[in-house]
Amino acid sequence: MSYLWSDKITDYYYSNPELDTVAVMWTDPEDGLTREHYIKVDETDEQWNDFVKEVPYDKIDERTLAHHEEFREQFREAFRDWMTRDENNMTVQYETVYEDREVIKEVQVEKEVEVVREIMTDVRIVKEDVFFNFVKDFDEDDPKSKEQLFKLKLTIFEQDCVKNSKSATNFKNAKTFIRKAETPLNVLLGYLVFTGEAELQVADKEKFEVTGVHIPIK
Amino acid sequence: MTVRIPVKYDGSGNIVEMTTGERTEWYAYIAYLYAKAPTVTVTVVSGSGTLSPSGMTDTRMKAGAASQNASAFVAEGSTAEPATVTGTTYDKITGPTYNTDGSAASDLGNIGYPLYINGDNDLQAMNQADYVDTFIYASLDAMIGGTESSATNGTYTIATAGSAPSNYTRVSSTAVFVDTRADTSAYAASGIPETLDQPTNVTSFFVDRRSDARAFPSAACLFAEADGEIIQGPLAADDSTFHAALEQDIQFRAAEDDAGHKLSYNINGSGNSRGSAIVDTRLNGAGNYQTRQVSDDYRSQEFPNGSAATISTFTFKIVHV
Repeated sequence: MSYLWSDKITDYYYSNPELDTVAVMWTDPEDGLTREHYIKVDETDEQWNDFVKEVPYDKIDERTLAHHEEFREQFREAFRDWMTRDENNMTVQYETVYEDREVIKEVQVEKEVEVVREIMTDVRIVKEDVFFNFVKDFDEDDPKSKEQLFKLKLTIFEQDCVKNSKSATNFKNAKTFIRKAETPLNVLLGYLVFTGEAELQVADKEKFEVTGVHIPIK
Repeated sequence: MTVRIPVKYDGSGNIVEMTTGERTEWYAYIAYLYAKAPTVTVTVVSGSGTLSPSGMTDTRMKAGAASQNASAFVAEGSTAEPATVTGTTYDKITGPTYNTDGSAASDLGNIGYPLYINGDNDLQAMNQADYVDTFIYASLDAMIGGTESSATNGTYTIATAGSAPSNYTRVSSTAVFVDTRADTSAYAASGIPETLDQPTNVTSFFVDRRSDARAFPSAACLFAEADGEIIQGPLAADDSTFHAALEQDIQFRAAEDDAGHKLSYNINGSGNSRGSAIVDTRLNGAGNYQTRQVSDDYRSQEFPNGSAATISTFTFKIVHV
């Protein structure tokens, strides 16, 4: 195997909410600069298959989460800087909030839990509506919907049964199925494979072409 | 298709079949013969390229227009949001262009091709069809592999390095796509009202061609002579009749084969990806709200922010047709 990135990778992560393109950062020994190399997720492509042999899907998921967290931290840092600038005159408030924030947070969380309990008890149907509406009204072309779908996928990949799943082919295929899913319903169908409530139907075992998800009647 | 395994002399008095590694060396050597004068070419043009699909457009974010007020800052919600700039549309890749001036090498006859061990465990000379399958088609198959190596000599790839890496030749110093993003470091509150569009070049994509130097195979083929003797073919010379046939046939079949081994290139079609996918990225933040007060002039503006997200992906691929 011989690729420009083969022995020079410094980072890698999914570069879009659709999770269909991976950015590989590699350092060019000629000039010491870090450059970007992109690979489309395509399990029929030799370059992609060679890449995931070196960097498994789980690692790409991990680095993607870490990359997002790094960005969030940069944002937090920038926000702190902004608050503490003289012209904004918010240093005192910020420090007070910062020092007390753990206590305040605990109180807030308790209040929120109480409120949620009440809502769950009194208007359970509303919560269910929210979730149902997300699935029912999902718009593939709406950036907000796509962002929510992306978050749902990340949440699914964070579940213990997915994280700790064995490297059996059906789980690999289920992860690919989730990764490629274009609707929340399909994401959840893929998740059922990990909970043991569904099985993938594969048309071509050579190419792992998933044709559907089978849910047995129990 | 009948691929034979050529035999070699092992130096210890035995005639044995070549190993997979030794045959791969032959594919690399044949790819070198092809690369001496490639007959399927991709070029970089100034515009109206035939290979690049429509819509290869670079986009980026720019700052929203600054707001000013004499008594208070305009709130974030009322300050103009960053907007998308549609930059250059790139259409600079042309090809594949086929040189169809070649022809197949003539049949070298009963003893013109290398020996192999047949099903009866006898030595037998390949016929012309065997030779094409064993040497030419196998080399063309290796040339469309996703893994770039000396066996893909003469074929093209997309590179992001500033200059062509070793074993590659840059087809043109003109990038076929330049991905730009808003330069967040160029925007400062002290500069409000900032120039709206302040881009920086993030990644330039170039077309490179694999161009390894000649490396002779370590194992020589064996040939039969008219009197029944067996001779070892030349290694460190490519002017023999057999080597001349290899060069003529690989160049001819790459451009004109009618049995599904012609080389072709496309973007986002079928085949194996070559090099980096070409991407358009832009920052995905909701806007970085900043303010500046100059006496009674309260200014606010939203700068581009966020992390880079890929908007479009264009994958350069090689395939047989």
